[in-house]
Parts: sequence; structure tokens; C-alpha cells
Amino acid sequence: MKYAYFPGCSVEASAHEYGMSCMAVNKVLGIELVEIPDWNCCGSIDAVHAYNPELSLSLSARNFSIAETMNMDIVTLCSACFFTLSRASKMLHEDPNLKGAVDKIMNDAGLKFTGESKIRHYLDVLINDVGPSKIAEKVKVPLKGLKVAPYYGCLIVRPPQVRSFDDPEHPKSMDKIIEAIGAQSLDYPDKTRCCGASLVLTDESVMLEMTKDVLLSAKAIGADCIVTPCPMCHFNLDAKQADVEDRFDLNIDMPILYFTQLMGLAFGLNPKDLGLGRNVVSLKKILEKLKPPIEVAAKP
Amino acid sequence: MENKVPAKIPTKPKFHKAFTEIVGKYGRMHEPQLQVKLMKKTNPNEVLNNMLFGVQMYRKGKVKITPSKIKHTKDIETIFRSAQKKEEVKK
Repeated sequence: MKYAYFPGCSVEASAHEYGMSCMAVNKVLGIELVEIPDWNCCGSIDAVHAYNPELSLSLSARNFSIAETMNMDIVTLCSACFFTLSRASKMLHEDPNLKGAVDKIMNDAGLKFTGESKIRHYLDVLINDVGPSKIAEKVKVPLKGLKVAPYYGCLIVRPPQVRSFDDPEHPKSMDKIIEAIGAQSLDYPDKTRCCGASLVLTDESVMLEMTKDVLLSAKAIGADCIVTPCPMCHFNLDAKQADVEDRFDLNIDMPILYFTQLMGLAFGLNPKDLGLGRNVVSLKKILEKLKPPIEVAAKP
Repeated sequence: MENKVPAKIPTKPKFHKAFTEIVGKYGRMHEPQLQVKLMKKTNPNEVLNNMLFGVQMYRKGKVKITPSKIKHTKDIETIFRSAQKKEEVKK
């Protein structure tokens, strides 16, 4: 299984542990991700699109044009990149005027976008190309007794008109992986509710309120931890959790992991290779539950 | 923005502008620069408070001090120039 890999800007920086744990898990599952040479920012949801839609679409098109020479589907870890690239692909396929405008811009830069490469999320690959049964076969440390709240966020499943490999209202792909690695997947109403996303930079009070609701919802159903496939959601739930606690005078103490980190633990991989020291909220209480218990250095 | 409708969250257009400027410079996002750039424009008094948060994140390996820059920045320059020219013609 070989794919063209679009890491995205977050996975290079604040979500580095997501990329690390994905690569560690890939070795176990026999997945090869070949990085798209000299990839650029996808245009990031509305960040560039609201400023200049054709610019945003052209940034996405440059990535597609490089990947097209690799003759492989593109895979990304980031839900925002997945949404942005999927939206660009759909808009350029369906609107000839827009395609003409972007073709002209690409031509100026000496590039050509044909639209042959398909963009997929890594979670889609795990569920549909690898499959839960093969994932279950690789488990060395079953996470028995661990109650996990899967948090999908918005962009991996919505809007369904753009592209979706899972149900937009009741996604199950991450639940299936959690069950395959021996943990208990919890169902709760807020698993696709918005965390506040980039409001962390533009209106933090709103974002803190939204993130608080997700955290409390998972806590109310007795979750030991939350897992997510999205760097933006992970940042708000994990790095901003202390701010939520301060603002609302709460004690939440909810570990937040990327689903790839949890898979790595079940595969018995070295915690250092999974970047577990980079998570902000302590993972101690869930690592102690594992048999044998795992210790992780606080520093990355 | 195009029709001069005031933004409900006044910092949003500044966010879009700051984000786009950084991508135009490096071809990729550099999170610390976005944070500082936006804060300088919207809430300069918060720069120091947020630096403490930045140090905590740095210790966790979540902050990349040096921006990641693509090799073919000329591609990005041309894409920006052509797209912005088209936008000006529309206006």
C-alpha cells in the first residue's frame, strides 16, 4: 500500500506527534507514505479562501499538480487539509469557469492541474484499505478496560457534499479502530460538534466555551481519554484545556491523544516513537491502566 | 469582505490577511509568526502573556522556531501575483 503523502503545515510543527505516531504505525501495517516533494500550504479552510478564493484553489492545485506526477492517491492526516483539498478538487471538477481561471494561474507558474489524483484521509485508508481485522491482528497490548471517547470534529465528515468516507452525523470509522485495538469506544452526542477551531486566534472566549462543552460531554460518559484525527481539535482540547479549566473553574484532567498514538500503544510500540511526551495534558492515568503499565518522560 | 459588510468577529479579516501574507512568504504556514502578527494588529497588550504560553508549547516540542520554506518559492510568488491581479480586475 503506497500513497503520495501531504503532511500539511500543522503536522510539521504543533502536531508533530501525529506524524511521528502515524509513521510508527505504518511500519507495523505495511503502509508506505511518500511525501509530495516541495508541497505547499493547502490554503487552510477559509484562511486564504475568504481572502481570495482563486488564490486558495491555486495553492491546492499546485499540490495536486506535483502529486499527479507520482500516479498515486494523496493521503493526508490533517482534517482541515483533507477538507480544503477535497473542496478544491470538487470545485475545479464541477465549475469550468473556475477551472479555466485556475488553469491560467497555474500556467503562469509553469504548472498543470489535470485533476487525476484523489485526496483521501489517513483514517479512510485504515478503514477501507487495511481494515479493522488486520489492525486487530497486530495488537500486542490489548487496551482492555480503557474507555475511549472518539472525537471526530467537523471537517473530516462534513459537509458531506464535499467528500466523505463516513456518515456525516454518526461517523463510526474511528470507533471501529478503537474496538479493533481492544478498547471500549463510547458513544456520546458531541463527537462531531465543533471545538471552536481557529477561533482560538480570533475570539478565544467563544472557542473556550465550545471546547469546554466537548470535554465535559466526554467526561460525563466516563471517558478515560479522547482520541481525535484532527490537529486543530487536538490543539484546542489538549493545549488549551488548562485555559478552559481556569476560565470556568473546572477540573477536567482529560488526556487527549491522536488515534494513531493509541494504535501505537496497542501495537506495543516505543512511547518515544509515538511522541507521547509532546501531549500537554498528562497521559499518566491511562498509561498506568495498561498491562504492563507504561512510563513516559514529560519532555519530548 | 468584498461588499464591505462589517465582519461579525472584527479580528477575522485580519486573521485571513496575516495567514495569507505568511503563506505568500514561505509557501507554508508558520504558526508562531501568525500568532504574533495577529496579536500585534488586534491586541498588542496580550503579546507578553501569550509568550509564556509559547514557551510552554516550545518545551513540549510544539513550536518550530524556524519557518519551513518551500524550495520553489517562485511558483508561489507567481500564483500570488496572478491571482491578485485577477482579483483587482474583478473589483
